[in-house]
Amino acid sequence: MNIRLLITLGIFLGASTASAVDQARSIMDKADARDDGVSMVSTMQMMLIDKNNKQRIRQMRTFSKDIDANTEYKTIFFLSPSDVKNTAFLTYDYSGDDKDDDQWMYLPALKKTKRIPASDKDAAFMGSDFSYSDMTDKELDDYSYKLLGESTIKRAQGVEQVWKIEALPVNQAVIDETGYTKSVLYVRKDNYVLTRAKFYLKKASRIKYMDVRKMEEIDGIWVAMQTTMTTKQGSQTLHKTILSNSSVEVNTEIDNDIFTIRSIEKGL
Amino acid sequence: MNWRHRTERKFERFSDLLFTHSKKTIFAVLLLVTGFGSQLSTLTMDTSTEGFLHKTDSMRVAYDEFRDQFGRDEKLLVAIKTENVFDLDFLKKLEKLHKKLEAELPYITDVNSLINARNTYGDEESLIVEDLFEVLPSSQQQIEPQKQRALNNPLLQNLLFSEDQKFAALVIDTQTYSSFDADGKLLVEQEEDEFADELVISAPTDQIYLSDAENTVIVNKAQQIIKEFAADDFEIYLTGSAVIAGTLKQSMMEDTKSFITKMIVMIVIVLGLLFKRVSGVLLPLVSVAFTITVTLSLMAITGVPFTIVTQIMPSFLLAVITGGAIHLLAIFYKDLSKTQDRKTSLRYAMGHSGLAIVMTSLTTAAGLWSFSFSELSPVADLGVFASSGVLIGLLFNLVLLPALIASMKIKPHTAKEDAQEHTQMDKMLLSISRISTGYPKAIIAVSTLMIVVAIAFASQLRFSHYPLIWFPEEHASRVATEVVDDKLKGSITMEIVIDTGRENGLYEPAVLNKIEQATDYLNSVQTQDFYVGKTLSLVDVLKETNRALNENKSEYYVVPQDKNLVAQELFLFENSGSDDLEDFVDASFSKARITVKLPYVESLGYNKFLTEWQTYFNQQFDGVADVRFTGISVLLSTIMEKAIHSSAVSYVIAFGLISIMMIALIGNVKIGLISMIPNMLPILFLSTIMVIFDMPLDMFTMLIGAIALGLAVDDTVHFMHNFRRYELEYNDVDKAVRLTLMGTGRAIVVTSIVLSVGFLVLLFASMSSMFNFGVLTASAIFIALLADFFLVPAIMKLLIHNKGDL
Repeated sequence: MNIRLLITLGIFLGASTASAVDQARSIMDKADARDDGVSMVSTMQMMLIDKNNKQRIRQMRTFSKDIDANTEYKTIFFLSPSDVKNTAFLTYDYSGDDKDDDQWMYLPALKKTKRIPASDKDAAFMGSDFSYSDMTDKELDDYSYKLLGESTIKRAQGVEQVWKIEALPVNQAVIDETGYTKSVLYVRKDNYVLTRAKFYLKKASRIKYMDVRKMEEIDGIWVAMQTTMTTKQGSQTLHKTILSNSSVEVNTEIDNDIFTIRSIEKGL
Repeated sequence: MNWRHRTERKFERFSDLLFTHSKKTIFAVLLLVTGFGSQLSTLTMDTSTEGFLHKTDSMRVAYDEFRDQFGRDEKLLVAIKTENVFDLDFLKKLEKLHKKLEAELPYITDVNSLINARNTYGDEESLIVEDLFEVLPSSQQQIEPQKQRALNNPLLQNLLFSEDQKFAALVIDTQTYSSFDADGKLLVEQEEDEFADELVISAPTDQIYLSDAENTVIVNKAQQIIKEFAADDFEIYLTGSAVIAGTLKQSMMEDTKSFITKMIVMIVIVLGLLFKRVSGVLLPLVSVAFTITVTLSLMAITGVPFTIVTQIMPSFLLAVITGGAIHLLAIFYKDLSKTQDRKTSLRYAMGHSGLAIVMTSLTTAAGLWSFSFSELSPVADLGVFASSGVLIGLLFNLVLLPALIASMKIKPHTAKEDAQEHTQMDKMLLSISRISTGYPKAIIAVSTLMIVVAIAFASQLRFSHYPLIWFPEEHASRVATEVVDDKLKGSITMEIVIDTGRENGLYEPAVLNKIEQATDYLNSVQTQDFYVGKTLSLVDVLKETNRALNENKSEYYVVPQDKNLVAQELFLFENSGSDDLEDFVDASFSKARITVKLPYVESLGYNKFLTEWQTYFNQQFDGVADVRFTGISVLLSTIMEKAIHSSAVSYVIAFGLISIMMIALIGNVKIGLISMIPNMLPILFLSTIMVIFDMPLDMFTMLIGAIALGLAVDDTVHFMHNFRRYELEYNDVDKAVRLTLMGTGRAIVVTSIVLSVGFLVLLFASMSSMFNFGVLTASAIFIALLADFFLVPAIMKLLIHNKGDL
């Protein structure tokens, strides 16, 4: 192989890398711009499975609503188990600017509502494998993307064609906030929905695997109906969560009153 | 002709056969050794503490369950001495060290220090769980609020800083599992499996726990990082069970390696001086080298790992096999100077010593084999493989050595040279034979007195297993452990698991109250040299959350007495950003873990408290929950207990087996049994020495008894074998003793000198355990020699009046 060929090859490879970055970003732009509805009401079931295969089930009714481009309100009422029944959460999620999210929790046994400043989004959401950051939209500009390739995912409902994209946080602040040092995202080609993801945790070489097992189109909006999140360390499964949605209503009118402390104290 | 004579004739014929087919024999042996030796590279090492227990041992099973649930309990503890731990400059440096350790130490899961200490507090409307120093303030004054919170948090004192605020600590948690598979390959996740569409989690396939090698990598890297930070106002001490165990094993392995080399060098020198022949040095060493190779290969082939216990095997085989070879060679060289013919002399030596060498090997093997019944797997392995090794060595001594002698050029010394060389020793042996047969009653009286005194001493022997004092006093790990035990109230931990057996059992205030009472009880243990530094449990998290929810009022630092409130507070805590709960409870809130911080003390003293606590806990949780005590410190003390029990059993078995063999060899029950008395002397005297010099009976010194017995019996077998022959021939006890001492007695002296010098090399060991091992084994050899030269002949003199008594 002569030198000229090597140089040509080098330029070619460099070009391909650059285009892999551009392409990835444009896919992510489309995924981000996808219509995911203005509001949603659902009954959510969370099955927590520990490493000994013991299962616990928590059920809750959730209400969420986009207030403006950067603000989402969310209220969660716990239905079961009985010891946490009527416990409720209220979250004001501010993305985009530096404002910290607001979160309150109502403890019926104490008859008190406490504000829990959620400065770290890497905290576990309701004791599950999902973190708060997994439950909210991510800032596109916080990451640099690279297209790793294309792939096919076989599911019971059929085959999904996906892009495999690597997302690297642009700075340490993003890593500290989300707890992830790297993610690999699987985005469906047909509808730009994230169907799988692999999150590398900064803590103790753990990796989380997210998989959307069931997806439904409700009133033109794609909704994940069943999602699993598995936390592994090496080949060891530490914990697993299966999150299922039912009685889903999308773009339904929700009164803003439901997103108040009074409302979570009153209950459903 | 009785069987002994027939066997001797057979040995003579065998010798001639080997002489004729020496080349073929050597070739066959080489083939065998190469065949086995090719497997040697697959020999594995297991120096882990839990490796002492058989895989099915209930303590080990419980420990594995614990590790699977809560993670590895062995930690690294970095303590730093400074003027004031809340000084801003100090905290800045601490933060740097914290970040560096977190970023650069491999195989760790967590670093905890004042910097990221959990800080739970609340006011009217909020509850906050955050790191104590989320961001370090810019001035000393701004530190005050955090400092007050740290001082008010009972959990942090003696854990992350000392009472006098002059010591800060970093606690480092390590990974539970190894990053490598059984073949040493780095584990890589399989992409297809990750998203496998199954609902249940597949049972963890035989996970390998973090290896000692990985532990060593962590400790070494930590030592390296610490060095960069050490300064006058930043004195750093590294300890914790992961470090103590790690450095202990490191030191022992290093000592053993250097010891074997030195022992070989010493034996070469002594053999050279004694035989003044190249063959006299080479032949025993070839036999030893082949024996060790084949024995270790056998371990590799059967998948048995090399452990901290089996590491004494090479030096032991070195001693025993060399001894056997010396017995053959001493007779051979002596006869060669008379006959000047190798074949004749070899025949004579084989006929004369062959049976004795077989018998000594069998008795030694029996002594060692008795350990194969041990409840501790490395000790059992030692029993199996060291006894096999002795028999393999027997094969080389009696097959390979004659074949080598046949094909080597060995120049006979002239009878004159030989006589000259041996006059000194002969004179000495002659006077010994005169004394022992001349004053039998006096010798027996003195011996009896000595035995009585020795028994009195031996009864005061104290059991103790305290590896920390094996280190030299100035050893970094020993210093660090002592400092941390003193200032931070404990360098190791014990773990207690309270298993309610039902989901959410830990929400019940009744159970929580019992846990609180139990931890209060533990925390009240404060004696002169043993104390509980701290306990950590779910109760602490709960009390802390309850107080924060009630505006930090100290009267709320209690367990809530409403089941739903407990559930909701824990739920709140789970959602507040801390994942600390997984350290204290399982996911279904059925099992609680109580971690007890303790000083590093001697195992059996620890055992006393452990037994008390177990009784208390069993009463406290009777009918409410199951209680299991586990963790590496509990394992260690269990191991020690088993070691004592097992070795007692082993000694009984060894004594029984060897007595039976003695009786068979001598052909007389009474004399056989009586000849065992001198073999007890080395053990009794070792006990006396240990009592006088305050050496404890620990896991290592306990093994010495078996070695001492094995070696002492060898001397007795050689003596009795020859004595019997001469007595039957001449019917004159005095003459039989004299001839025995002049003949085989020389070989016994040579062997004893070679072996004791070999073991005395251990006087240069850095670890006191190895030092003691050397001194005691060498003393045992010396005492066995005295017993066989004085006491055995004296007994024979009194017991045997004519050859009919035999």
